[in-house]
Amino acid sequence: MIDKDFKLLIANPACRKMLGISPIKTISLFDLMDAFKDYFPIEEVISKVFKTHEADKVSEVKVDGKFFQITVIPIEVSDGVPGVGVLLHDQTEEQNLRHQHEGFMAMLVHELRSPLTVIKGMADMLLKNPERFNEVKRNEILTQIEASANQLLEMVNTTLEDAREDDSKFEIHKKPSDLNTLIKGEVKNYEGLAKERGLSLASKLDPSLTPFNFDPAKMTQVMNNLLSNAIKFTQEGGITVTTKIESGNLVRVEVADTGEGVPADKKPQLFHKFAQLHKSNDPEMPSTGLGLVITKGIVEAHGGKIWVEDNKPRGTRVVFTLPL
Amino acid sequence: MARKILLIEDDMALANLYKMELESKGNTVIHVAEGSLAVEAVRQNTPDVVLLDVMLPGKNGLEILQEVRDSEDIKNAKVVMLTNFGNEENVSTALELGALDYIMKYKITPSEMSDKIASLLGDSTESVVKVTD
Repeated sequence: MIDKDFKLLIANPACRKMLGISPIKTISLFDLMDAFKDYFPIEEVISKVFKTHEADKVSEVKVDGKFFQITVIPIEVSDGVPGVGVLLHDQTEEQNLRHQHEGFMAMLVHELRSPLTVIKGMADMLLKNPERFNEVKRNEILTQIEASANQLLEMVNTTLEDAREDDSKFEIHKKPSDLNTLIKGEVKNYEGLAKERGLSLASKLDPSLTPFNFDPAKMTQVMNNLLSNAIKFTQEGGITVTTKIESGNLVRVEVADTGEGVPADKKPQLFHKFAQLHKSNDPEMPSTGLGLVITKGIVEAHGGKIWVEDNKPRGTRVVFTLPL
Repeated sequence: MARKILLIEDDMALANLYKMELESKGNTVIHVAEGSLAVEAVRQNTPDVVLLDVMLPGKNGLEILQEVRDSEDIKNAKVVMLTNFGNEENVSTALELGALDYIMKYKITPSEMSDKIASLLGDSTESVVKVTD
């Protein structure tokens, strides 16, 4: 707190600690200016606020390897006597984290681009001038394309696993929403695709389920993942989506298909590493395999659970619960 | 026109890609994967052009370029940066150090890359010369 004569009236212990000033020493504005000397003309901001009576904020002031946010606000030191308050916020840690994150992203992008460049380049060479390469060379090129694609997939897997550990990636914004309506809409969206593949698509929704708090955008993503998976892996029969209130404070959602089912030993892996159980060769149904991992993350971020059951007599039932 | 090209690239798959492409156009390609061996390779091989990656083990591409420029015997070597690591700072540093170009690998196909190298070295890829006033 500084008065109109530029006298420093109070400096709290946190401020003293930040500036490296002893807790018992009487300090003046000069100590403050001294701390920022060579880095930032803090007195200019203080004068400006005295003149304009408007607060001012400067971020990322680098002082001796640390980063500060400086906020200067007009105040009254006593009745009618103007002064200013100087708030120092040590941003060093936030800055370091941000730089680490930026560095990580730059590295990640670089690492992903290398195999992509190889895949693209090799494919381009083969497509444009196939006659330039004999069969041995062509095989070599294709083998390299496959190896680079595998490398890329492995990198995506690893990154995704890391991301899963960071709950903030599944940050959710709950608001009162109607799950039955959302599911009806999603079922409608997938009707065309199911029909094309000769499959039925139906829903059995619990009418007593009224709106409750969940993130509708994220839940749409979950339903998209589950429905597209179910359709992709079902050759005949159909898919049924069910909602049912359980024990008063949980809703149970099931997406049941009549596909070939998931072998017992593969069930635990399903949500884990998104190891694709079935290689989908259908170009209309491309698969990254990312869906179930993300789905699990979203359901758990809502405080729910997700698992897989056998759908008797045939197929798979993906079940998840959400707290009401 | 056939050239002697020194390719400094630590990613074997990428090196293989560019080697295949450049050799199929009749060039001779010498490949070095280790940053710390790069400057000596420029000196020993006197290539027509050096294709230089930025992220390399041992010594990075910009350090290598600086060292080449500081070495009296090879300071005029023609260098093209060929990388997937581009920020404005790197690009301007490389161009200030006299790199002929800064090519982002992922943005161009191998044949575009070899055409570009040829045109940077003064080979005309066009058969028609346009004359204007």
